[in-house]
Amino acid sequence: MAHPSQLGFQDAASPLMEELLHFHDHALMIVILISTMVLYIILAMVTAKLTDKLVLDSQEIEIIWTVLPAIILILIALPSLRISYLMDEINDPHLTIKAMGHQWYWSYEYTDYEDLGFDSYMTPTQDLTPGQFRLLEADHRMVTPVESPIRVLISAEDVLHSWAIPALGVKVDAVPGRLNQTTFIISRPGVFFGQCSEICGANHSFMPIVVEAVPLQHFENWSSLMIEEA
Amino acid sequence: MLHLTAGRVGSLLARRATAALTNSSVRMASHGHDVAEMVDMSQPLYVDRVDIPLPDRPYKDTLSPAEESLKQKEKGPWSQLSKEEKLALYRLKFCQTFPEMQEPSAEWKTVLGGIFIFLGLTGLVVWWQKVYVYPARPRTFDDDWQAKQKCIDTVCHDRSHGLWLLFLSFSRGLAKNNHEEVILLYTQIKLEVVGFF
Repeated sequence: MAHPSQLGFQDAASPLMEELLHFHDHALMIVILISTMVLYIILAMVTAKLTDKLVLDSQEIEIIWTVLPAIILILIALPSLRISYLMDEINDPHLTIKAMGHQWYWSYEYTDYEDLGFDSYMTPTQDLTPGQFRLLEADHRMVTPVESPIRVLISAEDVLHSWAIPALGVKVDAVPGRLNQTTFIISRPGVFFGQCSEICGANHSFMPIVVEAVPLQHFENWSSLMIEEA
Repeated sequence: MLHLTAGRVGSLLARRATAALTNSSVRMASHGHDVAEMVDMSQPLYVDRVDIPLPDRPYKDTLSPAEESLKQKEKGPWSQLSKEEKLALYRLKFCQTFPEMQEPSAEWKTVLGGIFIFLGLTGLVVWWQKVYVYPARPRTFDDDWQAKQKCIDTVCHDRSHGLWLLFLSFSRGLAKNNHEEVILLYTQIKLEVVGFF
């Protein structure tokens, strides 16, 4: 999860997010290099003592500063497109979960084998046990097996919401009357937090998403327990 | 950068010369356009600029009789001019010397002062908000609460804060019970995360 005064991305918990982190590093490095060069040129021009009054044009530099940006743009576009196509690859999910957005909570349905559904409300600040995260904890977490491809189908029951988890690189709009699909693989066990990412009313900031990735045996135990409780 | 060889310099100068000598109206006329004659109607200007060392006209145009006689004396050998006369002749032709043109102004003090004034006003506004607008600080920001958060090391607290919390939990203020609890929690997390592999 995020820590206070964090500037960069959260540590990746899925292979796709790792790719996005590396791409961001690449693009940001290009941006930093160009900005440094431009800043240097500006300073050099401003502090120069002499003026050349007879500069009219220059074909050579015009060619350079047209071709070089084109090359740089290609160098940015190629990895970007690669990741874009990677996201859309056909994979074979082991599990399908439905995440439905409501005002102001999420509900999850695991209907592959048995009928399992539950609501996930934010834990109010006064009910937190010491050490829990304010505005991020929920009463029921979406538990998934680790290292398995998961398909999540996202929709909404009333207004627009958005199901987002930064550590997994997932953000999908929940549109009423529409079913959106995303797939991901969680690389390591842990608890991953996200928050609703589309304005949906008074408690838009208070409907978090909590995903808990556990080994398969633990997931099976959990789902049996949940079905019994219902 | 491009190495200026003699050949390159020659071609550059030739291009400059042709551009200067044939103005655009001549070039247009030679390519079949009907172009009116271009007349320069600008007035000669006096400017004090570093990149225009010899302006179009002298600084003082209308001269008093004393200055007129000095100008006549200038037409003779210059070794007969005294130092004061040479300086007077310079001041007739030019308003400022190069060092006078280039001396810095005190404008930066005004600019910096204005910036600090606005920063101060902003600070006042921020302080007023802290006193009259913001609600109470949530208890989740307290040190002992943060020490109990799982992953107390640098994973979910930034580097310096994580180390500070570790130090706190092992030292004074958080009560003996707390720090044992924290160590237990820490070990538990390590087992949960690492133990399955």
